[in-house]
Amino acid sequence: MFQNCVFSIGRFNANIYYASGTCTLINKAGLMATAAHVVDGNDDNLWIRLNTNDINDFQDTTVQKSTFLPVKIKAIDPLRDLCVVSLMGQDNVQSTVWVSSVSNVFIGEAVTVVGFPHSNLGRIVLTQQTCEIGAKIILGASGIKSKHLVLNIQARPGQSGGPVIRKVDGSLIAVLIGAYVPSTEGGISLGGIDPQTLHQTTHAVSAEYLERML
Amino acid sequence: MPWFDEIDEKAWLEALPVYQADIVEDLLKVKSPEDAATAWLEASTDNTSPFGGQHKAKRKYLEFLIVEVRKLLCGSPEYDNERNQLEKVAQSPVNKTAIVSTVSAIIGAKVGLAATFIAPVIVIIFIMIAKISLNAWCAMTTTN
Repeated sequence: MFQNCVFSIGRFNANIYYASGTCTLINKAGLMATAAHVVDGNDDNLWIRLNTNDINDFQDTTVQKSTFLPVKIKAIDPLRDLCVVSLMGQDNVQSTVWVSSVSNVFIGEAVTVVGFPHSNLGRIVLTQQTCEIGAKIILGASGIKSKHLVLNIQARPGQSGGPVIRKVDGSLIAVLIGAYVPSTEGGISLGGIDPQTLHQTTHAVSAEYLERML
Repeated sequence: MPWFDEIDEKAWLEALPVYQADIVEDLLKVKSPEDAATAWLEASTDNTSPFGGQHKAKRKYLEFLIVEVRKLLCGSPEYDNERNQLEKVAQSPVNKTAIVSTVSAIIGAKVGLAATFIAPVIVIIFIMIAKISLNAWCAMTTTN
């Protein structure tokens, strides 16, 4: 089902598509959820890339041609790193994914994470992963506190904004935003990779904050 | 723009959708307006490295936004057409939401940011202005 509701989102530069994250079509007409940092406060030249292959079949990475649809920011909350974008001229499409919360999930419960790992490098493959919820935590941003999940999985750039789906009911309980990093000065980057992100501690913000943004 | 000073500083928050107004209100309880606006523009979740695909350079938008708002509200010829548009929107009864939406769209187009994203910052700048009156703010920022 995910090929019809989870999409790569990004921008064009010199006719080349650069992915910046993942977004999810929800059960509200034409609306998609993603992370705020994926759109960076700007909806000029913002597109979603339609999936051309069935996720259960072989995704042909040699095919260069794709179909893109423009999206605009409908609502954005950078303090909780959440954003709702709307499909331009596509008010009649929606999925069955409904927005829920992390409040009632259990530690150790299995969830599905869907997205486009490494799409920042041009590898756009719709990828489904299963992992467990390692912890429920409160994180702050300039003093604004929010509920988050710690997922027992290593995520990579391009997965931001991707859905965390509760396996028992198919609801969107959280939106993937990034990896834990310690608060230290003077980090390093090796080949564009921050070594401190290379671990199985991925943060996802509760989808409940999306409700007020719809 | 005589209508500007008719609006109480706190009332500008009502021009935002509730989810944004609540956050701005919380930020303003513990931060100066300048710091609250910067927190919105440069937000990042504590101890989290974002996994958006494209790395972005840190930008200092607040000063830029204040300069552009000043040009719009304080009479810069650069914004003559947009100011006329704003005056029409602000016809009585004064519609705070329409004013904030219009200013956000005008300034957002200028700086390359979505109106929805900068609306809370426009409101915070309006709150800063409302503390001293529009004429005084224009005179002060001109001097600065």
